[in-house]
Amino acid sequence: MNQTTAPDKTTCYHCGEDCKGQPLWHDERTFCCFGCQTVFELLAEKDLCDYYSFENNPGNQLSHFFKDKYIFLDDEEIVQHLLDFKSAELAKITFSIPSIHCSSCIWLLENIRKFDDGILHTKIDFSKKRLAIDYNPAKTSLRKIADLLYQLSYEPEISLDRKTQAPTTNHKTRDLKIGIAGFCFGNIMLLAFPDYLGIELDSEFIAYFTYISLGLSLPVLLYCSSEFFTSAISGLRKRLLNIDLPIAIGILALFGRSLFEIITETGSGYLDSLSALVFFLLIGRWVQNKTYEGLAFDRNFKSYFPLAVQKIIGDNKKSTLVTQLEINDLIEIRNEEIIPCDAVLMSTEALIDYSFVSGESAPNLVTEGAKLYAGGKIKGASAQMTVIKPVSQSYLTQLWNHSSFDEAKSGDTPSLIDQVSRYFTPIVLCIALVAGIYWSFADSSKVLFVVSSVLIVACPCALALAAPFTLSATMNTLGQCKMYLKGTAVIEKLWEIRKIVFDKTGTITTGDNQNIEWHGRTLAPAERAAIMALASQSVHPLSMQLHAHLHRGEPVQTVSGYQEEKSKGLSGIINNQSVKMGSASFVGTTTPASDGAVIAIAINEEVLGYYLIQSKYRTGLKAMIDQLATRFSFAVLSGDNETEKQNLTALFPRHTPLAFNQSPEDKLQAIQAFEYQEKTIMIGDGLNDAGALKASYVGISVAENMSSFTPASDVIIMGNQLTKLPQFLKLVHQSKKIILAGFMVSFGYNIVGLSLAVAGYITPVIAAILMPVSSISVVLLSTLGVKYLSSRLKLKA
Amino acid sequence: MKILIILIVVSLVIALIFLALFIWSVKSNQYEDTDSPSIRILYDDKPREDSLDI
Repeated sequence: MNQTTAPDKTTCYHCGEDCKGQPLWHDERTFCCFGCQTVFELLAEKDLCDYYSFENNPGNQLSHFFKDKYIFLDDEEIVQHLLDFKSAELAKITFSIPSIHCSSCIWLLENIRKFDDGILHTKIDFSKKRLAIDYNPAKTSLRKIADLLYQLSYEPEISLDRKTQAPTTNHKTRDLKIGIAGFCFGNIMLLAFPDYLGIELDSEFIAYFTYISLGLSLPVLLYCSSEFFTSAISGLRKRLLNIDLPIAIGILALFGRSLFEIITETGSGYLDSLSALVFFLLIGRWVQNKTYEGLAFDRNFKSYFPLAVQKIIGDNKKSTLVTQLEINDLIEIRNEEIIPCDAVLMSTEALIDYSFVSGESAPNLVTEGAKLYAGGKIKGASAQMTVIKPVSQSYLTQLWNHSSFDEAKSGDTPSLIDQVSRYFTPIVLCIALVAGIYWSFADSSKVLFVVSSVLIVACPCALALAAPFTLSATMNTLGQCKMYLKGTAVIEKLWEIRKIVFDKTGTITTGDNQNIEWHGRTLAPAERAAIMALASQSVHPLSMQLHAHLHRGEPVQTVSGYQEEKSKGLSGIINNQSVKMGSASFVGTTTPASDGAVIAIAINEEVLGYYLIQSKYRTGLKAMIDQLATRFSFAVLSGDNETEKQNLTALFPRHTPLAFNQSPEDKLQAIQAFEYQEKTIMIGDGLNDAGALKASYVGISVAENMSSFTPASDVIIMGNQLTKLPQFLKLVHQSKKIILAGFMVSFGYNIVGLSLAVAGYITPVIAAILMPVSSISVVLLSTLGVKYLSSRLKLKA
Repeated sequence: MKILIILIVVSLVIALIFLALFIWSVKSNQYEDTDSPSIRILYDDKPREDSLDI
């Protein structure tokens, strides 16, 4: 139920956000905004309030709703383009919905047909955050469904990318391989029991058992272990000795030796060890290949663009796919929509927010004839513009197609395990050779036995398991702390980092970026409302920020006699009070010098005080930078102007390079210059950082919530966790030590095993014990080691 | 001891049936989304309003 955490802090019944002191009351519940209340009313009307019973405050806050967002879904051609299947009675579509996050979501989205008769069936795929919808196109339309989802704040993400997404089937074969290997392993073990226990059975039984085992081991050899052979061969082709080569050799040695023993009836072979080995290795691979399917790490700029825009033809508007826009087309872009391609403004003026492209926090006011760049967001009134470049050649696209993205990241070092195996294979082969030569003199009948024993025992099973289990345990721990890695390879890259580069806006400052403080006498509610009303009249960025700061969803009073003096201030009469706001000189006062923008306020010629607008830094930032400074050097690349220079200088160690007014291109080049000297992390949040994120050795993108857009990167981290970065990096660095410890353990086993093998003592029973024990002990060491570390660093695991 | 042969054959056949079931379950996408079903089972169906209270 509604939780009141503190007397002055009420949380929204729907989304759980803080109502900031002025909750809306409805039906004895508190809501933070009209959006949340509307969703609640919709659900109550359809008797779907169970939604609130599975989780507390399960809703998503609707950031901004605008009516025609999915207008392009009225276009038959676009709908065809998106559907998975269509007939007269039935159509199927799969939406990607990033805001799916809990059991309430599943319940609501699978009961959504109560809102619309036309929806036949919905099924959620929770891990991929997708919703498959079957609907009847005769009764409802895709537009209606998309609008409904949008209203319930489950905004479907429809983008050009959808068509290029191929469903992944590779983990089906992986599951099959693990299952079959496990099955064969278990049954061969059972058949080998008499052997382990030394039970003397009739010889005919032994033969019969071993042949069944042989039959069971064939699928393991031919199907389950195929990837080790292909990987070993491709490694050899590239003149690389990777870890799969000794594994492949070991598997062949095990099988060949077993086959020989069984056919010559000299023993029962090592088939149990063989299948156990393959089974454990496959589990290791499976653990390592864990990915966060619900997150998009490889998103390109196209998924950020609208799928279609309104093209104006004569007096009509028609939804047109962005990809089909041609030069000189007249298009209309509405409030909160993104400009898909470079264009020239035809309307008299428009307000454009380039924050995502350039990092500049203030919206730009442009007038007719101005050139507009792709990626800008229209604020307020819709704007008409003429296309001057098709989407594929716009400024942003060009940045994306920058040559630095084509080549693989320079200086990628081979993974730790490959570095070890480079030496491992030759050493093992040498030992086998030497042992073979020795025994050929001592007892030539034992040569084959010893050589194959060496190859069998040296099979680096434990070695191959140390890294995957440690890395994936580390990755999972970080994932629980809301730092999501693209794959375990990223951890190995993080070991080498020497420099950390920050973007400013949205990264070291919080998402809303502005901290607005009132300095002056306490304002009466009426005065506050008057200031808010006057601020709402102007499109100047500062007044917009002030308006957003004061506005609580209440109706705005009318302003008469409104005047705006460019770059000075505003004046107007509200409720018989004349209000002036603007620079100190305009209002007729002086303000103490400070870093930040000042809006002075006067009502009826009496100066009341001023608002100070500053960037808001994340809490704990200073501590984080101090902790990191012992190990890393820093740089700051900001697309914004220099107003924050003093604050940043105080924050970062001396001589940290601070660059302002950086275009995306500048950032990209700066990172390349840093990369040239040392391995660099880039931490950013916007499209404008996308180039830099890709060019850096490891790109970390900061997201404020799970469903917000993040440019392509290696790591996604939640904004409120960013200040824990020192602990995260410490864990990553310590994980290397755990892997090395695992290697030591595995070498220890190998030394013992190899000495036994060279001496000629390796019997099937010894092999069957030694191999699983070594594997399991390494796995335990890895997982428990990471658990211990994360508890010591006070990260929840 | 001859009975062992029969027993082993029987146990292998049973194991193979389970293997076949496993392969079928993978092929029919049961491992595609392992999160939702565990949550879905917790949802109650509301009693229908037109049902008779007996």
